[in-house]
Amino acid sequence: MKKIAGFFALMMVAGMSAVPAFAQEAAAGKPPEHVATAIAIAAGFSMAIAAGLCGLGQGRVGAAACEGIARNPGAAGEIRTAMILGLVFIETLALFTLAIVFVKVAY
Amino acid sequence: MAEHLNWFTILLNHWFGGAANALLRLVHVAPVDPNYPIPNFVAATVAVTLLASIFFLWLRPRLSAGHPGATQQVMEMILTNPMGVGIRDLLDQNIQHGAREFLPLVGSISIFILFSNVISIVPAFNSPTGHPSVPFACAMLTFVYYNWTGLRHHGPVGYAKHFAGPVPWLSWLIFPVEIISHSARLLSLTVRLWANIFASELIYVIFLGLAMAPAQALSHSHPSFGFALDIFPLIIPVAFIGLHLFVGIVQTFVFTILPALYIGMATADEH
Repeated sequence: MKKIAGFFALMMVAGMSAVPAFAQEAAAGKPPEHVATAIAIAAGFSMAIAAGLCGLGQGRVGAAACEGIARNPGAAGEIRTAMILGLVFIETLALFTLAIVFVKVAY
Repeated sequence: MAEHLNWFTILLNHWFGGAANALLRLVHVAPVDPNYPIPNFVAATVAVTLLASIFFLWLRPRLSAGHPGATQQVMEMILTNPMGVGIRDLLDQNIQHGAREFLPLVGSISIFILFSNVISIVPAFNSPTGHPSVPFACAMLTFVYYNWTGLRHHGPVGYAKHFAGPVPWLSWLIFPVEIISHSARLLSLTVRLWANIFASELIYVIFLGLAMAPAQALSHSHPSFGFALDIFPLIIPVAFIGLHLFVGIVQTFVFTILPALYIGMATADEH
């Protein structure tokens, strides 16, 4: 019984891989010239600000992790795991900005 | 801007194009190009599923508790390893009780994402996780699953009490904040995986183009010098393939620890 249930779960997960077939690209109209220029400039500035602040935040995470490992080398593994997790969360915020840039900038 | 189709995609379209078109007609979705209804990322997902299935079917009879071979020991490190970042380790750390029963689903999603991220190293494939649909599917599955485990563990009323916060006289404020933050989890899981993989592939393509530009520019006027410069597009992008591999593995780790955390928080018992 458990084997059958496990097999069905596996097939469901395998079947889920077919769902992306239904996502087709959407065609978008091009914005007027001055709007496209404004979008490009805004995209550049917003990505730069996001990347800069992300760098500051991740620098603090890295510094705290280094200090923690220096004080307590035995806990290096857990500190490293926490550091990776913290870095990924901060990086996600910069990647939200990158996603908006990709969605909005049309060329 | 039509995307370039890999040879595996063209092969799948040649074999299954008719069936794919019929399936799309059934759900009233028009393909972008009726000659090639299967896009790159679906073909790559099929390739990942096939390769992973064949590999694990090959591995299964060779598993042995007393005399593990090399492949078995490497694969076991995905589940549990001395650094504590294996799938089973992360589940045990973040889920208070009943961690092992969540291993099949979290492990399957995790291994699928690992293989999908890494398959981009093979020149014939682009990572399927580089298209927003695939990380969205994984994130949606995780979202539905952790809410379902929470509902199953606490019952509907008990699970709703989770969203109310620690004190009852603040629950009117905390409830919408919790709903929004849980919805943001779905968005952030998707965007984190997609943007990381897409950006690392894009950086590889950009630096390949940058390295090829001098060679291409000189190939007309000074062919021999241009030929000598052709060495750089072979060396420089290798660093970015390595970056893509690293980013793919880190993102798999994050997409394992976050569902484990969410399931742990959903099934947590207050005391």
